Amino acid sequence: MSEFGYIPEAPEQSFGNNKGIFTPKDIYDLTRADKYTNYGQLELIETKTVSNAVVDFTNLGNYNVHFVTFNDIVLSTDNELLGHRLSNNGGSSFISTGYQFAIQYGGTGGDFGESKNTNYSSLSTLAVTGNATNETKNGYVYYYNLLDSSKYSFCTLQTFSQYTGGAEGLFGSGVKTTAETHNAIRFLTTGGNALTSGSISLYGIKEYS
Amino acid sequence: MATNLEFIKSASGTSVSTLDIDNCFTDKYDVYKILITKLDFSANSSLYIKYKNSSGLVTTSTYDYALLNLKSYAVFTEARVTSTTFLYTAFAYSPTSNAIGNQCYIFNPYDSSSYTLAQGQSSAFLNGFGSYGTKWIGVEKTAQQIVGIQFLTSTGSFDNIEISVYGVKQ
Repeated sequence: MSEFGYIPEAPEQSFGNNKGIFTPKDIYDLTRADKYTNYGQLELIETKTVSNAVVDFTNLGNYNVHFVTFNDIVLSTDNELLGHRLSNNGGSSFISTGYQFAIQYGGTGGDFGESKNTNYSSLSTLAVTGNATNETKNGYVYYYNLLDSSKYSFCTLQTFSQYTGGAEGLFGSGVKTTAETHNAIRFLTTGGNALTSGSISLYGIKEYS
Repeated sequence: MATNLEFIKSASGTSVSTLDIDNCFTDKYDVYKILITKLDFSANSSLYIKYKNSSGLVTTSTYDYALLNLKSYAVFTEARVTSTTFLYTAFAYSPTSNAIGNQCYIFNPYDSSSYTLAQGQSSAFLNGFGSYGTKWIGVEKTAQQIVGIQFLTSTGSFDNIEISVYGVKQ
């Protein structure tokens, strides 16, 4: 009998090259062994609907690259930005200093420009101000090396917001220049006030060795 | 169970100056996503891309690119290059703790009647300076069938590199 229960001896199984008839247990075992062809490598870890002042993700799974989408985020207070912080203790606290970012923004109101900081309280800004009706924030962020204790944690992002001055998009990158494990992410306003509504989804990018 | 981002193949290397991913582009997809999940340089270096057709590397001066470098410590800078032999995707300083985050999309590589277009974004850190991001676009201006891709450094080698290629299901 093979490792995965075939009688008689079964062929070698690998991603993209599965042979045979599989029981649910076979599929479970092969999946856990990264040997079952199961497309869909953007794996949803969790979706959270805003119900508190901040949104925390404390389960990051086991991925090198994470992907976050945020949809129709509304802030409680005008003149604040949406931001994100990392934790090195599973979410017991979140690091509030020492981030660097660089952002290019451009808006229908004509405001194009650079935004940057070498010691910021958030991994980057994620969206512009505004809390009036329909002034929502939408976008995506890639995170790299969060769980690698020997690497800095990086992000790249692209977002789109509506605010008083019109529609504005931005893209850019950020880094936390400490080589340590970052095992939780918090979404918050940079002024310390609350998120009001919207949803945020966290995904892991599945890899195969 | 197929979803919209389908793993095709991955490749990795240690102490290599190039990493080739062959036969990753087929007629199954028009759009490909490439994720660089690990990347450490041995020296201050840029990350370049070259494509491969059925005869091997495309080394002709048929690549154009434009980029914006986003720096936390200085004014942003642009670059535009035409008729060169590679696409530029990122720059990073060498210490391994710095690493880099990088992803890009490749459009229509396998379509022999169209140019191969690409766009991407990276995040890096330069010791003594700060955060260094790059947003770039690029094209290989030959209507030809591209079947693979090569990643290479401008200087030194890759201490570690891991890359995954995904097809975007349509």
